[in-house]
Amino acid sequence: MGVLRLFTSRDVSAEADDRVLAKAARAGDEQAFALLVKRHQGGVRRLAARILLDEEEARDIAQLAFIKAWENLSRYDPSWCFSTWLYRIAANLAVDALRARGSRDRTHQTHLRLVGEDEAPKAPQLLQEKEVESIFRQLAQALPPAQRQAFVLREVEGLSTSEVARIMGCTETTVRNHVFAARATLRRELARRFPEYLPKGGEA
Amino acid sequence: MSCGKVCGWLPAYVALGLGEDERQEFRAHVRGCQECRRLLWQEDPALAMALALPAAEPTDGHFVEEVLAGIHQRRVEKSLARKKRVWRRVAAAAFLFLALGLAYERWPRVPPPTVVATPVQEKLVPEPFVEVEGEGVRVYQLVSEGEARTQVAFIVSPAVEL
Repeated sequence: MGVLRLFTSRDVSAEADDRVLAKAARAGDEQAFALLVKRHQGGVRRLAARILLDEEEARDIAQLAFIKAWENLSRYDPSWCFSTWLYRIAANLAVDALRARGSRDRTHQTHLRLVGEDEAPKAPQLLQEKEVESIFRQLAQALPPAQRQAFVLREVEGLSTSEVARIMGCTETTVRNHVFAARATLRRELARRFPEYLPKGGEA
Repeated sequence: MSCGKVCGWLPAYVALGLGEDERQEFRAHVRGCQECRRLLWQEDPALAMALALPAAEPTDGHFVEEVLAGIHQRRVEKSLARKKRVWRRVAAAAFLFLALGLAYERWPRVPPPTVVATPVQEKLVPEPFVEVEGEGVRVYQLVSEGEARTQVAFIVSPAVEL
């Protein structure tokens, strides 16, 4: 389950705790900030990993996101959920890194796929989580940064459209458009690379 | 939540039209229900894949310490950068001061105007002389000694005694 399960009472109190901790951290309390890091490191790292599709780079980006959060605590607006604010920093850093990486990595991943093509296909319902992760990594290479960010935040992490819009700094309609476009691209890539997993009668 | 309810929500979920509460409920159910996930896969593999991704969060005991160490390092770097900036400004100011000093020293100066004392020539006041022309008219003409061109003449009534 994603870090931001937003609509339960437990999360509401956790968010209130986050705000208290953020306030203390803003006053210079490192222990309070360490608690925030401990609480959100998993979600931030996972988000970065899903956008970057690289665990090691995601770890570095997550660290940088927390450091930037610490440095910019004075700019934190308590009307935002702390986690949303943190996700915004991490997602923007991840997308920047993705853009900087350019097409070099896409070529590399295509090569990996070609090397590993001898693996026997499995039925989609029998796919294990690790296999889904591996397939997603390969398909998501084809997504432009904004589409990948929107898809990961909304569909993988489960954030609401309005939160994703806030994180990405765009309108909700734009978020929906990105998500629709990402889904179409993923489906097309699935048909091209893994036709065995395409739903019956489904075409790209 | 029942699988039947999920089936009813499936089209709206795919069209991104479910309310936020229902959406979260739907997602929670599909994550745990392989049959519903298969149905979703038939509708949209990308959405089904998103819900099938492992939710386990990476755990790392050293992560927090590394973040705090990173914060300290950045603080030290910033402090050093600030000090460097101050010293750079001081050096620039000193250099400017020296340059201005040197420029002042070597600047070609305009010599002060020299005043040459000349002996004061005593001006001789010309003695007035009187010339009488005609009857009843007196013409007085004053002429300076050295300057022949300057002449002052005036006519005075003969009744007036000088």
